[in-house]
Amino acid sequence: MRALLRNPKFLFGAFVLLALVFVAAFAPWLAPHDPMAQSLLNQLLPPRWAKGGDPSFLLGTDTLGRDLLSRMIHGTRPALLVMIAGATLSGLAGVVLGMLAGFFGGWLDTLVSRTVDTFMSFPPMLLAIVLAAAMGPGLGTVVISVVLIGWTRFCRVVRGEVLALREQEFVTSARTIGVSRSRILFHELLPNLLPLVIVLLGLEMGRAIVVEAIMSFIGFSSSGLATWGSIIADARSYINQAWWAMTYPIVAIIVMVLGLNALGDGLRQATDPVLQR
Amino acid sequence: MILDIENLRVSINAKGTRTPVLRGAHLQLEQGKILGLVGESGGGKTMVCKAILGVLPESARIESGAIRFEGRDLLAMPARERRGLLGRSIAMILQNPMTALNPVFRIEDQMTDVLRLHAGLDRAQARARALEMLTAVHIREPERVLRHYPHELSGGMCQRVVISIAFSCSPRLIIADEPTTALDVTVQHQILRLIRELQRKTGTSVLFITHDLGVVAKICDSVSVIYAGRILESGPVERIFSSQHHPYTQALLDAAPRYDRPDTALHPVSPELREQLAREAEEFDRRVDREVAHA
Amino acid sequence: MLEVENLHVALPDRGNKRVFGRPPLIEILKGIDLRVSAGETVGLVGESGSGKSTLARALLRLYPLSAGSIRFEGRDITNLDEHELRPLRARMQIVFQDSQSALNPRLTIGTALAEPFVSYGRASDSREALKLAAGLLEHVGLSASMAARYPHQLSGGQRQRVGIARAIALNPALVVADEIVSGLDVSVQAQVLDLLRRLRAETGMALVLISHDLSVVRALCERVVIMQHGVIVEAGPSETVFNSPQHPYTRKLLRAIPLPEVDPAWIDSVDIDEVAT
Repeated sequence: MRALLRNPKFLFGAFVLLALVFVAAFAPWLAPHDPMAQSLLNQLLPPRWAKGGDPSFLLGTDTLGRDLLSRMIHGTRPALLVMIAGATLSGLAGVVLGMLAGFFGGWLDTLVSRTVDTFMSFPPMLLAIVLAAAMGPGLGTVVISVVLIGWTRFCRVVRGEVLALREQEFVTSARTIGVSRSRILFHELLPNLLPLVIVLLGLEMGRAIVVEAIMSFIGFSSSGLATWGSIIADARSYINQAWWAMTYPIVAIIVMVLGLNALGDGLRQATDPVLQR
Repeated sequence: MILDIENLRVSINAKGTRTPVLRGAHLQLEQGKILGLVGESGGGKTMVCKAILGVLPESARIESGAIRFEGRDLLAMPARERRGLLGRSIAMILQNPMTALNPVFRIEDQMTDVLRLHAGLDRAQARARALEMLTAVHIREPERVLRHYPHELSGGMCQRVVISIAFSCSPRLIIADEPTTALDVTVQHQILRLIRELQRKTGTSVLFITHDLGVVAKICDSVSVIYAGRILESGPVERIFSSQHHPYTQALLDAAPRYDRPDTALHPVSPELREQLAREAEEFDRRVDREVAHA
Repeated sequence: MLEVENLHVALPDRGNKRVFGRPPLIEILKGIDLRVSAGETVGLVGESGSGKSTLARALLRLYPLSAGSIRFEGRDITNLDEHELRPLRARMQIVFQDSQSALNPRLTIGTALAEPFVSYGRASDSREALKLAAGLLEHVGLSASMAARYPHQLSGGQRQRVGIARAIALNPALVVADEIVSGLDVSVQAQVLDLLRRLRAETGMALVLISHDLSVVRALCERVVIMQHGVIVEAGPSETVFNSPQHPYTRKLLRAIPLPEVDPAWIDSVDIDEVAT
């Protein structure tokens, strides 16, 4: 625990994640305006500090006169949902299938590995678009696309790691003292996979935010919500008049992705008994 | 005297604490001889080796002393010049021949690269020299071995290749760090014999680092015993392996089983002796500290 | 107690893996006959490639056999499946050469030692299992406080003691020790050999000591078996084999051992085998 608090990567990542959770939880109270409220009088206001800025619209407004700060704040909610649900579900599916395939081998391994290959051979966004076309737009569609794209990464990496671990003598040793196969898998092997899975989860969360943004951008996310991706999509059409509108969500996404990667890395460094000499 | 290490003090400084690893070590290797440096792991054998090669860890600090190679102090030499000596005048044979060779290059490339870099030979000359060296280490089909990758050869074969590389630039000093520890006994015998044979033929001097007193007795001319960073005794093998030796040397001999003496009990090095040696080492440290303060 | 007849083992040759189908098998053990009586200590000597480590694992049915039979305590275990073997596994144990890989890097020593008690129901709960584990540690000359450490925090000699402790946890009738002192300093080696000697006297277990070092085998074993290329070339009481070796290979092995005595003739005494690829 103390090692965690001394780890700068972890601290940075944890701060970013906590800030996101806080903003998402208190969005209605933090946001100065209704994110959907249009106001034709206040179209395309620049940020407050720029020339012609309005003090009540800190980050300015978009073409419909909606407050960008409020839209950014409300945008944390879908981002957080997609990030956590998408990464956890793809992690769960990938780790379980990867472990089983790596440990038992045989037809199960062939089946899982070929499925992974099939999924990976599709361009990931094409997969998501086909899915969205079939299911209709919405946050659920976005989460499922994240999982469909993400599980293969977990699965492939975990399977490889289990293949290597399986050959280690401590696994043979566990067999000789009568440890059952499921206990070997979950008691002996899983703790060895955790550091890897933590890093992958961090990466996947970052990726989930990007997928959400892309899906919003092309209009497959929920249309009734303010999302970072939809802000980018809207801002694209008036980038010549208001370049700043697009900057906020892009910066937010970059900070989130960096933060989550650092969080995963820091957690691994601090919780790995082998790395911690 | 080809190698003369004098009063070498090295410490590791990590997290504000200073841990001495070599406490004023002395080592003398005569021209054309094999000197065995023997001791347990953690005793400082590897540190001596790293200090000579200039590859001590970042946290290590050389506090005093000199490492004279052919009369010139390596520690006072410009880094460039020192690097120039490595590979050409000083060569290395490592413990694990499989990792000493780069797995992605053929034996031919690894052998000729060294020769072209250090001996300034062209491709054809280097290849001829490589073949000559492989023949010298009794490899029967050198042409074929040149085409192989390291993983296609056995451990003993790889060590032969490593030895042939070490000798190929006619170095004046070879540092062999546990070169036979990873090998089977019969292969160990062949490799020891090979090193002895090439050493006699070329007149090279060898610093032979090992934990095995048996190996020392068979291949070395003289021996230095190291413990806790201090050389406990040095001398010709005839003397050390007769009755006059340090209690620690005796303790090492008593710890190793011998197939020709099945009934003698095995005694680990006693804690009392270790304690006494540690005390002596600290006293020694303090004495040197005082001397340094005086000077 | 252990009777092995005409044992053949073939393992897949991973280096020669084909693009399609299974890799070819190479025969490692070519007809091994071996008997170990209760309480006896047998030394198994051979160089790399002799098949001695494969034999160690095959004796405990950790590898599939291609022919031959193994009887253990009067019961034919040649064709038992993993489920049927489970109760017998408590009676036959193995200690591995590489103590680092034989212990799970992410489990504490205490957990690793409690495992056999848990999996055979010898302890009512995990607290009792941990208590038994602490007792085991003291039994092999380690402090009970080591239970909280991780394998990488121990020295090689200490880890090897833990390996031995785990093997004797269930009072086995047979322990196979595979090269357990190679790579240790002579002084530590003497301690571990001494520990084995003491445990054997205390428990009356039979010991199969596998080593490349004839001196180690001579120090501990009543009977010795010399292996080369998957067959036994010589076997007999230690006295006889060491004092009047019959097979040329045994004689060569003995001559190749460097005894700590100055003998300038030794280095030239055996012909160098020219090794061809």
